[in-house]
Amino acid sequence: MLIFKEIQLLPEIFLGISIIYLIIHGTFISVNNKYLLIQNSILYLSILIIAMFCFLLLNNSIEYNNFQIFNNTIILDYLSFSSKAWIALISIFCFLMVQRYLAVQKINYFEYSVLILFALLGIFFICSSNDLITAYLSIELQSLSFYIMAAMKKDSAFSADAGLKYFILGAFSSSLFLFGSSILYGVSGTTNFEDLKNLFFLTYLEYESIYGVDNYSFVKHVFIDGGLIQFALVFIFVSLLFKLAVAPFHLWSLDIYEGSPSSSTFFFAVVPKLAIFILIIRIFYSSFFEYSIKWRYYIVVVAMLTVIVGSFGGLEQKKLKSLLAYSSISHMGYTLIAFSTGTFEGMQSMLCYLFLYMIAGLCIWSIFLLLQLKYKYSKKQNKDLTDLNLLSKSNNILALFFSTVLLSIAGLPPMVGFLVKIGIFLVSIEASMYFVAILSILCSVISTFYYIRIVKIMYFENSVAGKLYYPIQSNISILVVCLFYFLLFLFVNPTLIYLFSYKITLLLTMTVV
Amino acid sequence: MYLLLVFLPLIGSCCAGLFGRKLGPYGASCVTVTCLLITFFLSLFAFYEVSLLGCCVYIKFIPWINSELLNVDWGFLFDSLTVVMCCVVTFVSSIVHLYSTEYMAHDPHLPRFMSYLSLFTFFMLILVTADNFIQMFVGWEGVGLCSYLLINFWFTRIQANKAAIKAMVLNRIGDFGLVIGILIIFVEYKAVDYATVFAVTPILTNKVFSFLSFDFDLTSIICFFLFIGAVGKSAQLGLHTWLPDAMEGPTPVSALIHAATMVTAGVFLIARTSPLFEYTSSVLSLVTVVGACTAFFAATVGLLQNDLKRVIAYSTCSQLGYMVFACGLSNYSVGVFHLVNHAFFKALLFLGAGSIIHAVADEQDMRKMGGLKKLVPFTYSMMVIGSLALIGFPFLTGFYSKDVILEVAYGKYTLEGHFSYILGTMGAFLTAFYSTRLVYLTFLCRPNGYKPVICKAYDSSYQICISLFLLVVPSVLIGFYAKDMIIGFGSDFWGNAMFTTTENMNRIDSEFITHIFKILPVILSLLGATLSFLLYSFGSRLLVQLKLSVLGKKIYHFFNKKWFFDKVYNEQIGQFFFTISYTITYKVIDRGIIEIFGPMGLSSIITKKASYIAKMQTGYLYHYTFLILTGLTLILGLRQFWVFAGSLADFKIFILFFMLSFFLVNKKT
Repeated sequence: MLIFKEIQLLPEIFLGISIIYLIIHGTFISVNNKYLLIQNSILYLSILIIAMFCFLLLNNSIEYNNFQIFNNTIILDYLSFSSKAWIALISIFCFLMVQRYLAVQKINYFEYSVLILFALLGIFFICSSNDLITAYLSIELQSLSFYIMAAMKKDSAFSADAGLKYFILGAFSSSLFLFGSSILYGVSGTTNFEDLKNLFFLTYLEYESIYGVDNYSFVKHVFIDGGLIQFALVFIFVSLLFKLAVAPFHLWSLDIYEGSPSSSTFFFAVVPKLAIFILIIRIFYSSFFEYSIKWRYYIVVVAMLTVIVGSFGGLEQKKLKSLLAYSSISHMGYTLIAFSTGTFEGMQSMLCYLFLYMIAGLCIWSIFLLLQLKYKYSKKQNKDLTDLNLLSKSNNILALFFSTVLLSIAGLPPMVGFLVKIGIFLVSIEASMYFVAILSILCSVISTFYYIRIVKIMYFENSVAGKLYYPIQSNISILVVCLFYFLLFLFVNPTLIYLFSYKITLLLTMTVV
Repeated sequence: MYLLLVFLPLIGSCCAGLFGRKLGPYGASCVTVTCLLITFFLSLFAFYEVSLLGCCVYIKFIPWINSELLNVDWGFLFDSLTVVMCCVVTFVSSIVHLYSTEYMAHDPHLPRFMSYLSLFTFFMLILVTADNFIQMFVGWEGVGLCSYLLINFWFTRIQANKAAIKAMVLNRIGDFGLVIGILIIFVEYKAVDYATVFAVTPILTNKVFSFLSFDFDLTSIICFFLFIGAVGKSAQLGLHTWLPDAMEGPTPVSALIHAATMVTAGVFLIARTSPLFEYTSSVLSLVTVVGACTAFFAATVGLLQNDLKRVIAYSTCSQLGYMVFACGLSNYSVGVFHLVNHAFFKALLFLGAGSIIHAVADEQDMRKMGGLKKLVPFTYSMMVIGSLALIGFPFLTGFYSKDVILEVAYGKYTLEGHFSYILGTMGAFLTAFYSTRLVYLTFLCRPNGYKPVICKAYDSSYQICISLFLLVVPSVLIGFYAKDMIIGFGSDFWGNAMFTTTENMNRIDSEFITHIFKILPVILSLLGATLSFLLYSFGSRLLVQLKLSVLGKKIYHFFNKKWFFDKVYNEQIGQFFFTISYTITYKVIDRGIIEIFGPMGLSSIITKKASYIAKMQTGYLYHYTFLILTGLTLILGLRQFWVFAGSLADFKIFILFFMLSFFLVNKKT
């Protein structure tokens, strides 16, 4: 059945088979009365599986090759390879961090880990999808798992509410994606990215060489309905932006981040964004680069709106979780700004920003998860900002880490966040988007306010009464310290992340041209 | 060596200032005095090499500002003018350092004082050695700063605070003019180094420059603003009021900064930029008139002051007037010569005054002194020599330069030349008069002070006496010995340092003026001195009667109150600006417009907008769906809009909309 080329998909195949085994394992053991709490063992097994996945992936070594398998529906290139490796690495950390939280919150369903694995499988497929259908299916796989994860805390009305909202709105956005894809298929007769690229790229070259630039649009309209293609692209674009929680389509994210259990929020916020961006790169940058003059405008408008909403919205938030949600929104805006330049440097700084966003998100959300309030009566986990005001006294090191990471996210100079952020501003200035650059810098200033407010609450609030926290486990604290030092190290040596993203962009651009 | 010459005082200053606590007063004094002495010897050597051997030294040190358009280097230019100034500055400065070690010995802040003095010397050297206007301006501001710090040295005295602030504010006006001048130079020449500017000036003589939409001759407007800077720094008429008040500072400071060096920076500036001034006769006339007026005005005021140091301060002001109008008459070398001579004997006078003040328990009012001749004989002799040099007593230092100034003034044969000659000659008479009055009231007349004070009066100890003696030597000799070198006929001493066009050159003319006009200043000086001595010795009753008469009272009042300059400044101009700055700039602009559009208004608008955005999160599913659909429709509409009207609409209009959205406030909420 599998010919030699398809064996390159071995990591994903391994992941899928392991998930099935895990389900069988969990089902048989959980009906047995002796082993009620198998949550932890399944979690560790999941970590092992992801680690094995990583190993298989790295073993593949497809750095400079470009495989397209299963009738060109799946692509395996350096972009997908590196992003998968990165996501797998991050998700291992996620697994380690959520373990304690799940125990405290009594989410003792082995399905939870399995669902995360399903979502990761979907995400990996998104990274390497080369076809609209594959993309749709993998997005659905990821989203469906996420819907259940949002509703996983069965005794909480908020969680159920979040799951339902996520499901309905996600289904809505999926329908937009399907609608756009069908139009695209209707116009071009193909759903494959490679074919789409060849179709439009070649026509572009031919007509330009034959008729010159001036007559080009006229000719275009005769042969292929460019307007309709743009129409379709807008639909696809909007549905992907929904997944990213970008400004006019961001409202779901706040409710869902608030309502669902924090461990799920952790995953929603940190893991899938990179994959969605890779899909966006594949559709807009690789396949429809020729339309970049058109789609750039939408993206600029949406990105600006996102940055403004993300920066302003966070000012009024009193819950830490929704504040972080707004922060994530504004970061998506900055990333979109970099993407909207459509240049090589833009891609590079976008990838840089995303990688760093993931690390910083990992740090922040892990610290968030590790902070357990000493609360007698209710297991309240949705922290108010004011709950933090004794943190610097009760756990000084953690408070220091927390504030440093916050400042890095805010983009204050002696942090790596500053470097990637200024990279985005520079890229937008180089692309002559001066107003965008100025506005985003101003918004960045505004958003710095709410990050600094947290720091202020932690360090400079003179209140004696406040909430206390449980100490965190020492083995987890080692992980947090490692992450923190990695973040610091990236400032000392940002070349690491720059070179990585440079290589990805270079290989991507080579395949485009 | 040349760099060391500039930077040694800075090193001394840093040592004394930063480590003064460790070094102690004695150590700090030792370090600074040693540094200054070495600097003085270095500058003597530089004088030998540059002036006598005629090798100019030009050091491009490091680039400072290196942009495409504006290139400024840290460069040091040592030509004759620079080294002469260096010698004067370092000589007076080292003597003042030495003097201060005793004069300020009882002050707990002696290291700080020495540090300031050295810092001042450093900035003064930067000023004179700069090879471009910007670096010169660094020194210019630096000496202003040090002057402020030193006037305010006894910062617990309210008078010192007031005087320091006054000096700073009035200097600011002058500095503002200087900055405008430099900016115009940069705008028109695209260069700020002396070499380029001076070389290009003859080409740009007829160029018109539009300043505040009025058209001016380019060179004239530049020189006018440079001259405003000089007026501020050199305390010329109009911006002179800070100088007498600056006497609130310690006396060595007055000697160093407000007599010998800093106040001559304006004269130095004019001499340095002589290649610019030479091409603008109108500003030269202005310089002459202002200088002459200052010389006369300050002499009249000095006539009737009672504070010992203020008399000398007004005398400084008056002598600065002489220098400035000498420069205005295109005889820069004469002006600089007078500058050098004046530095020596005026420093001597101030240091002598300091010695007297020390002797009579910090009393500065001359009316409460008297009879000190027998008590402080050394200081007395020094003061008499200094005063005679100031008066221009034949064959003392002041004689050589002052008479030449008046000669060239008459030899100009122009209106402003004669004007300045008349005022200068009258000034010489008055100078002699008040100098003699000073000596008489302090030393010769009957003791008027308190008995315990007079009884304890004694001559100061070694450092003060040595410094006085060291100053007496050049005060007596330098004029005679240096005359031929500096202002002699055919002397190539100055080289290219100063420039005079052939039309403006009148040294030969001045040699052949009528004999009576040549000796008139000397006669008047001697007459003034004699008259003053006689009047105060024998005609004191007459003087009292004069003073008590109706007219005499008014005249006395007029002169004693310094022609009401301070009154007018404080009550008219000062009040006016206070009112304006409170009602308009503070209340309307600062707390009004800026506050509303700035911090307060912006923050309130931002929080309001933030609450709108937060309100969008209603929690209703259909709202979210609706918003998604709306967003989709808007993006599609945007596309259609671009298709139909993309060429017509400018996207910048959306920026306007966006900004407008901040000012739309929903009234309902």
